[in-house]
Amino acid sequence: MPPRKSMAQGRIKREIAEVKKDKQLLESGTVIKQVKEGDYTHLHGSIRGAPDTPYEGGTFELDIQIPDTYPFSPPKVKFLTRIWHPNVSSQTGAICLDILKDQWAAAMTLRTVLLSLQALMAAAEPDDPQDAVVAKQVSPADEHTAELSGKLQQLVDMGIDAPQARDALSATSWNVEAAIARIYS
Amino acid sequence: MSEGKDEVNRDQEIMAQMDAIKKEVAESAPLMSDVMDTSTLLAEYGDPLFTTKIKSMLDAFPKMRKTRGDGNCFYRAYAYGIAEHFAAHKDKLPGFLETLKQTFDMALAAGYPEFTAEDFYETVQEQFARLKDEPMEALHATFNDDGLSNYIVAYFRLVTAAHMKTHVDDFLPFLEGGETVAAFCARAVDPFGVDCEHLQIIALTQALGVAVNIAYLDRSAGETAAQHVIPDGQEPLVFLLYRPGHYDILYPPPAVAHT
Repeated sequence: MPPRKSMAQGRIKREIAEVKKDKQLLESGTVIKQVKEGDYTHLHGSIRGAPDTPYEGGTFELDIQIPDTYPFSPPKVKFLTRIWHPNVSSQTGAICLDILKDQWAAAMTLRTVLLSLQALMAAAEPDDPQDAVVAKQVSPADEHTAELSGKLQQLVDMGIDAPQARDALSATSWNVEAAIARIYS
Repeated sequence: MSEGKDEVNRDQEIMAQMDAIKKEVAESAPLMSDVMDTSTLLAEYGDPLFTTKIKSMLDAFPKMRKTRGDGNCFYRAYAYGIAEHFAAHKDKLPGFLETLKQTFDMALAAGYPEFTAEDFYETVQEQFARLKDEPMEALHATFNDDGLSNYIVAYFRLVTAAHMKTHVDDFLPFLEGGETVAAFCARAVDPFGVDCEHLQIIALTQALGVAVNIAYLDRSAGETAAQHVIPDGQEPLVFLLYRPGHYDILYPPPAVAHT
C-alpha cells in the first residue's frame, strides 16, 4: 500500500508536466517550476500580464506551497510580485479566489489554478475584495476609467502631449484646472 | 491598506484554527472504527427523547460502526457499507465494478478532467476489485489509510456531482435561490469535508445503483427513529444511522459483520 506522501508527490509531478504541455498556458507565457530539484512541496510560477489588461508587459511571480494534505486541501498560492488588483493583497500578495479557499476540489490541478489566476487578472471581482483600498479605487471600474480618460482627453485636445498630461493630472489628484495651471506655470 | 492586511490575517487565523480542529478530530477517532454495540450510544445521550429512540432500534440494529466526523462521513460510511456488502456477495461484485466503470465515463462526460478523475477511479476500482479474493479485513485497512480512503471519498464526491450535472432536470427544481447545478456542486459536493445532504445522497445512490436505509436519530416527533430508503422503493444494501450532521453504519442482526 503506497504511503500518502508518494501519492501526492506522484500527482504533483504529473501536474507540473500537464502545465508544461498545456497549449493555453504555454501561449500566454505562464510557467511553473520546482524551487529545488526533487522537492515537490514548493513551486514557483509566473504569469505574463495579458494584452489589453493593465498588467500587459509585466511578469508576475507566484509562490506555490503544496500542503501534506494535497489534493484534499488547496495549494497555498501568493503573488511574490507586488500587484495592484482588488482580489490580491498589495501588502502580502495573498489571493482571494474561491477555488484556493472553500471551493477547492480534489479533482482540480495546478493547471486549473493558473488558468483561474489568469482569468482573475483579466477581470477583477471587486465585490469579493482581498485588498479593500484597491477595490474601492477599481469599483465601479468602467465609470472610473471613463471619467479619467475624459479628463486626459481634455488636456490632449488642448495640445498637451499625453504622457505630460497624465503626469500633471496624476500630481494634482486629477483636477483638470490644477493640472493645466501646473503645466503652464 | 490596513484593512487588506487584517483580512489576510483573519483568513490565516481561520485556516489555522480549522486545521487544528481537524487534527484534534483525527487524533481522537479512526476513519472507520471496529464494530461495537449500538447500545453504547446510550451513554452519549442524557436526553430521554434520544434514549427512547436508541432503545427502539436495538433489536433491528444491534451493532454499529462509527465513522470519523470530518464532513466526509456519509461518503466514507456508504462506500464502506458497499464494500462490506460485496465482500459478502462476491458473485455480484463484477456487476458493481462495471457500474463503477460507467460512472467514470459519466464523470468525463460531465467535464471532469480525465487526469484527476482517473486517479480516483483507478484507486476505487483497484481497491474494490480486491474483494474478489480477499476478505473485508483487507479493505478495512484501506478505509483507515488516509490517502486511499480519501481517494475513495474524492471519487464518490465526483460521481455525485457528475450524476447531478448529467441529470440537471432532475435536480434543478430542488435548488434554492436560483442556484445552478454547477454552482451547487462547486459549493456543496466537490469541496472535501463539506457535509452530504439529501440531494447528494439521492444523486450518489442513483448513480451507483446501491440503495441505502437511513435511521434518523434526531429531535423529530415520535418514540422510534424514523427510517427512509433512498432511492425510494429499492432494497437497501447499506444501513446508516443519521445524527444531526453525522452518519455511522448500522448492522441488522443477520448480517455477519467482521470484527
